[in-house]
Amino acid sequence: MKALTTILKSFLLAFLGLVLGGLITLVAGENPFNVVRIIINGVIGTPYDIGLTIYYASILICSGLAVALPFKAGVFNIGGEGQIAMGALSCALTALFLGSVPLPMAMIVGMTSAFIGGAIWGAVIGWIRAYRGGHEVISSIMMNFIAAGLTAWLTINYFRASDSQNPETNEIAAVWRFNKWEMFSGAPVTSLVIVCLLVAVILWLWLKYSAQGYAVKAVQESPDAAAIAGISVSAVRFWALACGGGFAGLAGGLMVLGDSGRFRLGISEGFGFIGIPVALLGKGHPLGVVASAVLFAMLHHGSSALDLEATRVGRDLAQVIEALVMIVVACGSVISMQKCREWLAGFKGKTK
Amino acid sequence: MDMFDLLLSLLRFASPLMLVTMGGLLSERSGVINIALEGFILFGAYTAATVAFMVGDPWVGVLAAAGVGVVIGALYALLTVNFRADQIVAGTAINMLAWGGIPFVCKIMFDSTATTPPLELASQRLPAAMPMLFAGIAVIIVGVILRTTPFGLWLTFAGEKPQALAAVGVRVKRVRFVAVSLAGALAAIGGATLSIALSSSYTNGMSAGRGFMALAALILGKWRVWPAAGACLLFGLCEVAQLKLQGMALPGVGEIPVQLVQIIPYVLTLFLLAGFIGESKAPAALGQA
Repeated sequence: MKALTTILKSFLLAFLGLVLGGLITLVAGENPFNVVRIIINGVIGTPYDIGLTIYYASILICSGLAVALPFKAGVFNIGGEGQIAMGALSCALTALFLGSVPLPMAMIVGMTSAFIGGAIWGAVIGWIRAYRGGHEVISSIMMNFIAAGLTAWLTINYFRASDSQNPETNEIAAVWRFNKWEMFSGAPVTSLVIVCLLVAVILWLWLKYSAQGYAVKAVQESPDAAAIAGISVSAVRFWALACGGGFAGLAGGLMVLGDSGRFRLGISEGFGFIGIPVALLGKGHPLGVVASAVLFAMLHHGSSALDLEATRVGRDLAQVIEALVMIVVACGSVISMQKCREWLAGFKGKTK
Repeated sequence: MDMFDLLLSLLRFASPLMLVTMGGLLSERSGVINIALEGFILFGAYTAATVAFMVGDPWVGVLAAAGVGVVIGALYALLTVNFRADQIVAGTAINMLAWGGIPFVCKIMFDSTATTPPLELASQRLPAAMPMLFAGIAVIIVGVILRTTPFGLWLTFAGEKPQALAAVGVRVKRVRFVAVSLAGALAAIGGATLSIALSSSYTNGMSAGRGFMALAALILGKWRVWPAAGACLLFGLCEVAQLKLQGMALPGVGEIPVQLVQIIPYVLTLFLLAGFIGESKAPAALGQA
C-alpha cells in the first residue's frame, strides 16, 4: 500500500507538470484545451495511432526498468541509450549469423541476445562502480559514446547492407520477426508487448518476494546496514546495473524484432533518456514504471500530431513537459508535505 | 595538409569545449555534479544566434548568451543546491528542457523547429579567432580565481570540506549557487562560439555531446585547470585525426578505423575511472550538496 501511495503522489506531481506545460502552450498562443484535444486525438484517433502508442509504451517500459532497477539499488543508470544500441546490434547480428532457425528458438534466442548485449554494456558500468569505485553516471555517459562509435564502426565497415544507402545492416530472416497484430493496421504491436509486461511483473514479484529482492531493498534503504547484515553491497549494485543494461537491451531487441527488422545507426532516438523520467515518475516500482511508460508514450506519440494540427506548438512540447515533470517530481520528493506545513507555519508566524 | 592547418582545426574544436570544461570545473570543484552543461551550451548557442540575428551585433549576442547562461545556471543551482533535488535528475531535466524547449521557442519565433535564420553578414558573426581567445582567457581567469582569490578558496572548500567552510561563517550554499551560475555563463559562451563564430546559425544538436565530453575532460584533468584544458586539446586531437584520417590506409593495418579513433578519449576516461591508469580523485563532497 505504501508503494501505491508514493506512486500516486508522484503522479499527482506529474499532473502539476502537465498543468505547467498547458500554461506554456497558453503563453505560446495556443488554446491549451485544444492542444490536449489534439494530443488525445493523436493517441486514440485511429487503430494505427493506438498501436504505435502501445509500441512506444513497451519500449519505454524496458528503458524505464533499465533505470528503475539500479535506482532501487541506490545507483543511477543513464547509459540506456548505449545499451539499447548494443542490444539492438547484438540481436540483429545474432539473427544474421544464425540465419534460419526453428520458430520458437528464434524468438527466445533473439530476445536473449538483445538482453545480453545490453547487459554486457551495463555490467561494465556496474563493475567500475561496484568494484573500482568509479562514478556510474560518468561511466554510463562514456559507455554511450563508446557504443555510438563501436556500432558505427561495425555497421559501416563490416555489416553494411548491400542494398541500402543508409548505415544499416541487412534485413534479418522472416522467421526472427514477430507478426504485427492485425487490429492495429500495420503498427508494430507484436507479442513482444506481452513479453515487456511479463518482464515488469516478474521483476516486481522478484523484488517483493525473493531474498535477492530483499537485499536490493536493504541496499537502497541503507548500504551500511545492509553490509553489516552480510549483504554484499557491491554484488547487488553490480547485478542491478548489469540487469538494468539488459532491460535496455530488450528495448533494442524490441525495435529490431518487432519493427525495423535490421539494426540501423541512431535506432534508439533518445528512448534511453526518456527512460529516466519514466523510472522517476514510477518511483522505481516496476508496475509504476508500466503506468508512467504508458503516460509518456501517449505524450510522445500524441504530441507528434501537434506538428500537423497546431500552428504554434509542435512535437517538442512532449520533451518540454517531460523536463517539467522531472523537475516537479525531483523537487517534490524532496520537499515533503511536512516541510511545506512547517514553512507555511513559519510564514504565518512572521506575519503575525 | 600542413601542421598549422591541423593545429588551427584542433583549436577550433577544442576552444568551445575548453570554455564548457572551465564552467564544469567551477561547478564540480564547488561540489555540484554538472550533467546540465549540455543544456547550458544549447541555450547559449540559441540565444547568441537569435540575438545576433535580431540586433546585428555578435557581441550583444555573446553577452545575451552569458546572461541566459547565468539564469539557467541559477535555475539548476536553485533545484540542486536550494531544493536539494537529485543532481543527476535535475541535470537531465535541464538537458531535456534544452532539447525540447529550444525547438519549441524557435518554432514560435522563426517558424522553424531546427534552425535559426543564418547570419549572412560577416559583421553579424564573431571572427573565427575569438573562440580561441575566449577559451584562453577563461582558462587563465578560472585558474587565477581558484588560486588567488578568497572566493576560489571557498569554492574548493565547498567541494572538499563544506563543514569547515560553514564553521568559519561562509555560506556554503551561496558559494555553490554562484559557482554553478558562473558555470552556466561559461558553458553558454562556449555555445555562443559554436553558433556565431564557428558556424552561422543555431542548429539542433549542435553541442554534439560537448557537455558530456567536458565531464570526461574534468576526470582526465583530475579537476585541475591546466590539465583539464590539456584534456580538451586531446579531444580536439582525436576529433581532427578522425576527420583527417578518413579513408587513409596504414601499411600492415589497413584502413584506419576512424570511428574508433574518435572514442579514444572516452575509453581513456573509462580506464581512469576504473583506476587502471593512475587515480583521478573527485572533490570529496561532490554530489552531496
